[in-house]
Amino acid sequence: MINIHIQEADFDHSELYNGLRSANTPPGAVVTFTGLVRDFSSHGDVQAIYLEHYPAMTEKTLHKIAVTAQERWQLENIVIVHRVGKITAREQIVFVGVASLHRKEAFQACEYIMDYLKNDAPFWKKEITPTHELWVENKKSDSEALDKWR
Amino acid sequence: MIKILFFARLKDQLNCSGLNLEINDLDNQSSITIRKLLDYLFNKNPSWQSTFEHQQVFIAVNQEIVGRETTIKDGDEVAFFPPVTGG
Repeated sequence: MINIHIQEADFDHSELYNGLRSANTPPGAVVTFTGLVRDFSSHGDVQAIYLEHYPAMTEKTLHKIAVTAQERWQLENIVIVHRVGKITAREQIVFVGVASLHRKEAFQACEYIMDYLKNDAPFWKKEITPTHELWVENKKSDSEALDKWR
Repeated sequence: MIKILFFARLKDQLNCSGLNLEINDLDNQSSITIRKLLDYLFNKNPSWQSTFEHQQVFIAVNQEIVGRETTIKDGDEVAFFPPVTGG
């Protein structure tokens, strides 16, 4: 089952984890990734970030990434949660969870989904520091991360 | 009607989140390329050209990433945005 949520509200990690564990075929492995807002950047102290997205495209893109992961590995459940709007430093931004029969598939699929989310999903971060607001630049290392899946 | 959207830094730079155009305003044909759509927009808003040329801009038609030679028609949604930075 694929579950995708785009929301302003924070999420409960243990609730999402328990959801991943319940499947028709009980999984043997659950791997989760949680992304947090760092309180610093190359521009100094970060108080918060503002996350903009393209609503019509975001869910479509994340669903496509999840389906591609399901075609590549045998997975029981996939959950993707991404927050939008203003998020304070140290809060949770993103959750990707994968349940599978075996750990190797779960580890790989979780990393695959995160790598493609970083490159394809239409979200944009703006850093809010005490003195300014700056749109975050994309990183070359994020696009290079896709090489291992090709 | 064609719905045009701009996001994130590009939206701030153009000071515009989007606009609607009638395809007849653009050309006397029922479909045109993104390249021609941009020529039309740059003609109407001359400062937009350098904004587009000084950075990488992605294009999506009906929420799918495309190139500038893609053809659009009445009813399409065209979005322009900088490289994504979510996660």
